[in-house]
Amino acid sequence: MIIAIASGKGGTGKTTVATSLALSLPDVQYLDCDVEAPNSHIFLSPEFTGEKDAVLYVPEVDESLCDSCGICQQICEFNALAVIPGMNGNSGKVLRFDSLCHGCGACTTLCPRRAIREVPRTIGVIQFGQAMNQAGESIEVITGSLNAGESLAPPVIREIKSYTNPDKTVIIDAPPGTSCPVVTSIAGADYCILVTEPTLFGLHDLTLTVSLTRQLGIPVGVIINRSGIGDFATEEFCYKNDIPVLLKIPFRKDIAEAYARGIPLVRRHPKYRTFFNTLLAPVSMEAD
Amino acid sequence: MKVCIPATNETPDALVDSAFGRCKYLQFADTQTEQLYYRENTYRKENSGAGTQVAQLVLSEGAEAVLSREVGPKAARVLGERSVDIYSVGEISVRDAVNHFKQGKLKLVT
Repeated sequence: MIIAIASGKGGTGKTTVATSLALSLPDVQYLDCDVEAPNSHIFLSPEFTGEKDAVLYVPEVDESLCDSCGICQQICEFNALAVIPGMNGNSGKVLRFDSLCHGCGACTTLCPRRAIREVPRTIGVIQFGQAMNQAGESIEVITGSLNAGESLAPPVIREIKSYTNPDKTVIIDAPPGTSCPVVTSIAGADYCILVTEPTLFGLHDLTLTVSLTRQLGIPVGVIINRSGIGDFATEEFCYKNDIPVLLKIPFRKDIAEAYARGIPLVRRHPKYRTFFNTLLAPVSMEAD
Repeated sequence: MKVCIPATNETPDALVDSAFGRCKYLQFADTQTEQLYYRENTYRKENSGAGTQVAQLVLSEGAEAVLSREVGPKAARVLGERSVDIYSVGEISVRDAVNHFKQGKLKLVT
């Protein structure tokens, strides 16, 4: 079963929930898809045993075959190519703008002179490791990070997800928001746990994320973190929309303190293990 | 010599647009004949890469210099391919920008 942990608003407790869930369950594969700010390693302390480059395939033009027809430039949705026609004895040239190219392959496929081939461009790194859960069993951890200055998270996330092992309980730690990196992370999940805080901001972004998961057809449940601040509007929203509130984590100094020290919630407060252990029972019913 | 000026409207009194790739109009001035013509910037609503497309339009119009508030690095790379000079101007009209250029008052960026 694949469980994605997402939230609209950032900093609501996705990693707190995802790591505590991973530490409480047997046979877990943990995919940290928050490639712009991966932080699960702080709580899971995995031992990394391998890594590989995350690449994007981008066009490279063979200028001896190119006749500057301009088709690649016209069809590029992202304006990542500029064709400089030959002039005054200068030969033509195609400029590629790496920060704009999404690696879609349209130019390579549609070049009438077959002058374009795809070459790998490293945009991030994927790391493989093992952590240990509360029962002393191994957790497979795969985490990725996007290189500084790069803007395309989805290709790195897709690469992490290509290692999904459906025989395990797969926990996907998604990035915040509702845009492409989130869609890429949670697509294909059997269930999505949305972590929120009971504030106006939390509810606003939760509403957006619920609408996203509905469009993707993924059943959801909500965990309210920092319960006790804000108001009851989040619970009202969940009730009105038939969304189960799976757990409320109180707003308490000792929990925040443990988080700040990199201590997972279930390690600081082992009683939460029972919550996280049983959390998935109604979830698996819904996912089936 | 033909120069290109990103502008907020199609008249010589228009202010030089604060953007290059996403300017409203591109005006082209012949510094000898003082003739002006303009092109509407159809690339300004592009999701990405407006500057590189406008820069190519500048090349295909055969302008040899751009008088602009700012030009981004990607657009500058395209302009650099044909050695188009980029001059920096302040918040002034297109007419003043062309006059300042002719009087050699503008600062060459690249």
